Amino acid sequence: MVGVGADWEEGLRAITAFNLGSPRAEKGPFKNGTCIVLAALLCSGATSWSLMVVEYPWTWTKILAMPVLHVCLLITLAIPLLNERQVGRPYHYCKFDAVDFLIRTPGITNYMLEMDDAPVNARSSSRFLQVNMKGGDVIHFQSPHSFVGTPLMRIVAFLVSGLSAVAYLCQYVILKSASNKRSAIWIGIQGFMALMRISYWMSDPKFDDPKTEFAEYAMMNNTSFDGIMTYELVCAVLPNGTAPVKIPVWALNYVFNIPLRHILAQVMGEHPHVPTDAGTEIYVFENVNFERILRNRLGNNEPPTTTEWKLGVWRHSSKPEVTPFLLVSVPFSEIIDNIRVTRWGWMQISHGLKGCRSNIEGEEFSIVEPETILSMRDGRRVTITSYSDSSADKAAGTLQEHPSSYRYLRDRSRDVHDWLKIILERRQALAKNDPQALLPRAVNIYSHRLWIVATNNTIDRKHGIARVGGQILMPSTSEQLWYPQQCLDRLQEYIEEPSSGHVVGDRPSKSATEKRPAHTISSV
Amino acid sequence: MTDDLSAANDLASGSQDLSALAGLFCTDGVESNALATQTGYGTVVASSLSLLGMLGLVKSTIKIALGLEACSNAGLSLDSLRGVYGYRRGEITSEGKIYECYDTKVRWIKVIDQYSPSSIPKQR
Repeated sequence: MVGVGADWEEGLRAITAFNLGSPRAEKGPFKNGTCIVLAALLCSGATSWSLMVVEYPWTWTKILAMPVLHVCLLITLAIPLLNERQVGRPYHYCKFDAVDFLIRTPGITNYMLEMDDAPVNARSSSRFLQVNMKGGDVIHFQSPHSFVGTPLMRIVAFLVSGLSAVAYLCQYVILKSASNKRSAIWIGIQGFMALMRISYWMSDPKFDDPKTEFAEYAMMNNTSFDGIMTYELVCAVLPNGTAPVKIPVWALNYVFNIPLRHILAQVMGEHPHVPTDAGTEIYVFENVNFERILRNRLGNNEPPTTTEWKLGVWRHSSKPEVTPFLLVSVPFSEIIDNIRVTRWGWMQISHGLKGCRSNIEGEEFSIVEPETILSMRDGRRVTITSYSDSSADKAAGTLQEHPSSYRYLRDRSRDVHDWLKIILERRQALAKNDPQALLPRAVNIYSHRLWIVATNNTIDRKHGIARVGGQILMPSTSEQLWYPQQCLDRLQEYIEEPSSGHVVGDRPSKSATEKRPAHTISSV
Repeated sequence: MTDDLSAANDLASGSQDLSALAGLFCTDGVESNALATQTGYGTVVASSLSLLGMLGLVKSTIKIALGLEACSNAGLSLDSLRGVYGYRRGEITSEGKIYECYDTKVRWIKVIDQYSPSSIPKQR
């Protein structure tokens, strides 16, 4: 369980919030790794070795009862503690690489994106929890490596719990041979420790609180970006079991670099259908929910479409140009052993559809019947012609259009077109409005694309001051035109270690001892 | 004096039989706190203190090995697992403040694309 900042007063409309954690909460003396290990050694050691008060020869019973029990207890403690170290420290794992990785619009890169459960290299990868709420997303960074839930952990846990139970019995076996006095001492020690334990739990000391509610958040305003950001794409990837989702570099570069409204205008307009010759590369964002990205950008106020759709892109090996297209799910027939089987597939909406007019960006699209549709099912790519029922096709055993699917396709395509049109209009209206209207009452606004907010009582990692709600550093006009890279630079300056002494230029540095009354910005 | 000590001996060696009684005060408490990382590291570490109630630690370890689904199917209580495994999908809590999270891993893999430059400029 992690805190996700659910109580933002202003909501998270069109915002992606990155949990930057809190240095104070994560770097306290009782959060220190060495400190925890020492405490664990001491507690489990006292439990295991207090039986030394009973004199007993070093037999297997004694080895099991003391050193083995000690090791077992340590491993038992290590499982939840290690998990917490990996999951509960966003400050630690929100290093520049992780943020860079998600916020950077890669531009022209040579990297493809892969999402799966395989072991990952910490440099080029990132692991996080993401949650969609209040109209936006919250991202909580964690260790790229996970331990809890892995088969190894399960085996270890089973073995350790079995051994612990045996060691527990061995303790009593040894105890039976003890003198009365020694037994009394032993039970006294154990009883005292049990009392200490329960009084510790009851007192629930403050220094031990995880303080996950004290956190700083870097908030990215999605409405101000043209191309899709890495984090938007990553959050929109649908859970796909265990199979990795791999996105090739050219498809990534296209969606990252071309403004979203241009992509939409293009897919809604007239454009050639996907060629079927050998030199054509096609990538369908099969596991990416673009509708989620669009709705998130508009604060999730739009009703979802009734028809499922997907975005695809294609290019020819001889040209660098990438062309987008839309797919909708439709039924079709397949003839297998002379039996007509109705199946569902993804088909391209091509050539703009009859009755579907669009005046986006002043263009009026011509009315064309869809002649060719492309099925992308089971990795096959088959061109079928509407109304085609030729014997040649039957003989080839290829796909054929369902008798009713032409109309069906058109209706469904219209659904999607109408929805996209509304989205584009809404976006234009939103862009006309004052972008400041979307801003929450935040501190450390760096531009209208990025701002940092902190929860009550959180110490600013840069200046060592408690954040103050009323203090709003308004951006200058030039700052409002920042590109993602500049947002990233500012964020880097903010999250890097304070010891570097580097202070963002235009803001005066505050003395580390200066304290101000904290004001509620948002609770978590 | 001898009688007192022998009583202590009986008590000490008999505390194995008192496990049901100890369970009332110790085992359940240990089980629910052994994995309660959401309340702090100290809470977890303290659960290894004292042999009385140590079976709670064994129980929680078995549960963590089984996982949330298996424990739920087996009819075991899931409360002690919340700190580590959280809630199952669709599970309704009394607090009503639980959001569904996706554990996501992403990585970049270097590939050569014919239309991209062979090296990326480091823009920082």
